[in-house]
Amino acid sequence: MGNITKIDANLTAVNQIISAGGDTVKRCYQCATCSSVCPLAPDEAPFPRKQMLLAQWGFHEKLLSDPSIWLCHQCGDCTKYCPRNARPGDVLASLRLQATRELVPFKFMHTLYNNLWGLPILILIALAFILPIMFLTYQGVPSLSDPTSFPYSPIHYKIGFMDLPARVLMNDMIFLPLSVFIIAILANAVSRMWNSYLETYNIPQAYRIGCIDVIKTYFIPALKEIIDHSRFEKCGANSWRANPHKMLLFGFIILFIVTGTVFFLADILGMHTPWNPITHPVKWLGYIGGLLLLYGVIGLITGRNQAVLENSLRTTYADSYLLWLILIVGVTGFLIPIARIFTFYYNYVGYIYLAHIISVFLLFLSLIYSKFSHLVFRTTAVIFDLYYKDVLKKL
Amino acid sequence: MEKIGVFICKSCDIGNRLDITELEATAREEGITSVYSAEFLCSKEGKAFIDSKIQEDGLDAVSICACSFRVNYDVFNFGKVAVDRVNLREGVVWSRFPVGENGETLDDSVEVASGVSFKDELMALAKDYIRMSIAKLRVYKLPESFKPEEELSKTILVIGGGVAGLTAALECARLGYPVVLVEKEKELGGFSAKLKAQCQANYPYTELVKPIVFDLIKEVESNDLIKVYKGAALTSLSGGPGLYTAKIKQGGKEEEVKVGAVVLATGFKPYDASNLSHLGYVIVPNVMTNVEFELKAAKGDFTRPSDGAPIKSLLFIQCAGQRSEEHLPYCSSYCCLASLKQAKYLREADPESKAYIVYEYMRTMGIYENFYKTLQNDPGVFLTKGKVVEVSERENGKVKVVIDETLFGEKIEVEVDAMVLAIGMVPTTKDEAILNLEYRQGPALPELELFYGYADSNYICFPYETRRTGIYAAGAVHQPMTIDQVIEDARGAALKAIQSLTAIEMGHAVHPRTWDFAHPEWDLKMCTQCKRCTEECPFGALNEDEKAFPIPFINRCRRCGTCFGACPQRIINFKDYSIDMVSSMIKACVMPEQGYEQYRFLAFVCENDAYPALDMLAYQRRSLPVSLRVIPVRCLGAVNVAFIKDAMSKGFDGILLLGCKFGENYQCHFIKGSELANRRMENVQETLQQLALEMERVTIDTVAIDEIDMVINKTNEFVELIKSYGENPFKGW
Repeated sequence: MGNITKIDANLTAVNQIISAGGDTVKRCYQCATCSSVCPLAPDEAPFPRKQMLLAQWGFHEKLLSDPSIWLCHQCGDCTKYCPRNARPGDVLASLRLQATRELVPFKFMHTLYNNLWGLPILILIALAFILPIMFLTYQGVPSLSDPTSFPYSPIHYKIGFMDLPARVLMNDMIFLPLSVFIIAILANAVSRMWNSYLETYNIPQAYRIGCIDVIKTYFIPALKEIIDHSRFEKCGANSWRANPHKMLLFGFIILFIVTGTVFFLADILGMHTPWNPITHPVKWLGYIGGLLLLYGVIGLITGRNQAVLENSLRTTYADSYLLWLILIVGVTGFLIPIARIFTFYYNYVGYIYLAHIISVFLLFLSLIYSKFSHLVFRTTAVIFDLYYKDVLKKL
Repeated sequence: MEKIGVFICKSCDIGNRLDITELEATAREEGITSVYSAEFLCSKEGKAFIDSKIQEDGLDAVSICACSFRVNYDVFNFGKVAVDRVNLREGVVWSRFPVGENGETLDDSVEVASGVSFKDELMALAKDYIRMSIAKLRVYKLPESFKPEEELSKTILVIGGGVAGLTAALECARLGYPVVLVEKEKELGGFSAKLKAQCQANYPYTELVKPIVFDLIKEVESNDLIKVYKGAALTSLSGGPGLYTAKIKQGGKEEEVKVGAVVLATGFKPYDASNLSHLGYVIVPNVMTNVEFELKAAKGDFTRPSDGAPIKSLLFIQCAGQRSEEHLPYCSSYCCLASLKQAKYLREADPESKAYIVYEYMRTMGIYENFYKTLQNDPGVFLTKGKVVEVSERENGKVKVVIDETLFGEKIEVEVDAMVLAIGMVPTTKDEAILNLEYRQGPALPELELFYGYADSNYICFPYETRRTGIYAAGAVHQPMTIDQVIEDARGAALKAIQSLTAIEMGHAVHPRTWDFAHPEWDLKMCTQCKRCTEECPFGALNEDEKAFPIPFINRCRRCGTCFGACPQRIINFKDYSIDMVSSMIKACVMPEQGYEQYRFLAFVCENDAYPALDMLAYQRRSLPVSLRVIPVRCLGAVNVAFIKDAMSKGFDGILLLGCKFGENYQCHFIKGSELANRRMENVQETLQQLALEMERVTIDTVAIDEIDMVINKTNEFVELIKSYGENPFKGW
């Protein structure tokens, strides 16, 4: 090991980490209790002891190109057992947020997403996208207090063989381009992430494999791990999180399937909603997904409050924001069919529908600008971890 | 003593396991008429009983046959009546049991030799102890405390005017003792007066404050009881505690001052950094010592020495020339704190600057952990463990440092504007005598070769003590320490100095035998000028005249009896402890006839640690061989070879000496006693071999106070070994 690394501590970066929620980072005195108690730290590259040191010295780039920060599920064991209350778990959470910021363009959006004062601006931005499309598809300004004007307007569009009601066209026009935008950004981010990991771990050229091979070999095992929550379940201090988080994930998966099915059945085949809310099987699947989502998110919110009392976790605005946003998506999602059953507030359905669209819009974007990005970035890190372990075996 | 009374206690199992009537008979056989036994001698009634018998029978000495002398010493105190304690409880009934093959306790009636029951042996032991006590009291004389003719001085001489010296002077003056303070430099304050700032010496220990030494200087200079000699040196110190004559040279003239006790507070010198060229000192221009950086910082100068450019990044190397056999083998304890402090100077002078600290062991003493935590939290302080491998100069004047074994797990290279070496402390006593004592054993404090030249004697039991009675060390000359610790240390040393003066005034010994009013006396008519006493005294209590006769200075004496043990002429004796006394005790034992397999062993046991260990094993009802007789001694150094001869010729089969550990991590309460005893016993063993006797018949062992198992094992092994050699062939001669 004759290699000598030239280093120069970066005071600016340290200050940045401190101001971004890593304010306890400097307290660490490198006893490595955190790495010892961490149920997730791999033997080959244990964390978070070293990450704490790198953060103390302001080695930003090194940190952000380290998959370890994503392998952490913030069980909070390290924070709970840290003799100096340096809160490694929280420091790593702040590093993940910074990594997200570095990987995704339009950084001002990240700022808006992670500060309370940014919330009204975000809603305005969402409206700025939604309203023009709404006015366009509804051919003017619909009345929000009249469900027959919005969302259930009789206006239909015939595009080719498809017959789309106004609200379906509106949703397609909002969310299809948004999805493309998000996917493009994520693809770029994941590719940059992967390459930086290869450099960080000095993977020899001979063992570097293409994108298709990575997905073929490691995506399914990684997915299996993620769905099983096998890493999450190893957590000590906050093992309660595994179950609600798993349910939340299942909720998302079911809702994703429901949305896909609806898109196929309604948009392509023309079997348009509103379907019968009591008898339709797809509706039922949707309810199950929605209930799992609500169960998960409420479990996470209450569990987190408990963990904060036990000093194993800290809840920042970024954490609350995402949880409450998901809660609002779930609640507004349920209120729409409920409104159709309990007709006494049926007239508010337009407002609820709009609120739902705004919250879903913000949730979509939060995939790249909030801690929600872990859905993709942690998956990438898990895939890399599996790949790296294989490479090590071969070496 | 003329009229001796023997009182036997029947309680605490003594009456159960021993035949009291038989014991009384033994005392009568020895010619004692006042023999009594009662329950609970230590009770109010018991004590009143003894008191009444002392009055009735006109006793001048009593032998209390009850518990160990280590307990109830306040109860068994009868003023002018001599008291000896026979340890029947801890020494006999609670520590001698017939033990079966599997470690079980058998009945006392079990046979231990043909026709001899354990009970017989136990009674023989108790009887021997009573006989020994009577023999002892017969030659015992009441101690007379030492009162010198000259007037005792109550002045305390403080050498050194730094934080330690100033604090000690103030503490003494506050208690009304006049102080003479000698400072080498032109001004008071010592090293800490040169500091830019010091770490807060009170809670929360997180801030920097103006050196507190300035307040101390003001207080000292305005105190009428303190006489300050600046720019002065102590050229000679003669006499002894209470009676010292100090010669102080100031300017061209020398003055003689009478002083009673001394606080040595001459502090430290920084380690000579020119030995640290491997860390770039002198070779790389921008490498400084922490002392040099401190002096620069005190002037507000945070620039590079080479070109005066501002220091934007500074790297501290901890343990520079420390914890290393080639340089200083120890930790100087202040340097981590000093580097953290200096990092704070830089960070406060320039918030954009960076301070790196490379340490092997980050140690901030006591609650200064708080200071470390505070500095750790400074974003611009970068800490890593590591070893410096290379220091070199770059073209731009920067210092390149390569560090290995870092927390990063790799070798790192850092380029900084300047570098500071955290060098250690060297005590001023390392190369200089300082005290300039006019003692036979030399002008300096004797070097133990354990404390690297520090004026330290024993790190656990006896802080502040030096091996010169009446002289107490404080501050960085005592041990490496921080200002905070120095203050505490100086208070302790001041108190010790005062304590020694009080002891001398009252006429008793100083620590560790503060109850002892007796002192050694020399019968010089028989002296052969062999110099053993003057050379071996661990405290240098003796000078010599021109004919090499010893001149004792009793005030310097700690009553360890090392001289008494050393003297081949047996002319050194205490009133209450003499060669004749111990010999009489040995001779008072009754030896069984040869050939009956009844062995007799004698143990000389040090009162400081080994004897308490015996008492403690008794409290746990552990067992010692019943054939072992114990004579407590004040130190193994006080075992005269004559005792060994007497015991061997009396017929003891083996002699065991149990004392404190010597050598590195020694625990000897008189520092050198057990070591000297060891040397003497080696000579004895040689003699035994010449007599065709097994050398193990005289064995010396060392134990710590808590090593009860070891005491038991060692005595049992010793007894078994000697039994395997057979009886002492001189038995019955």
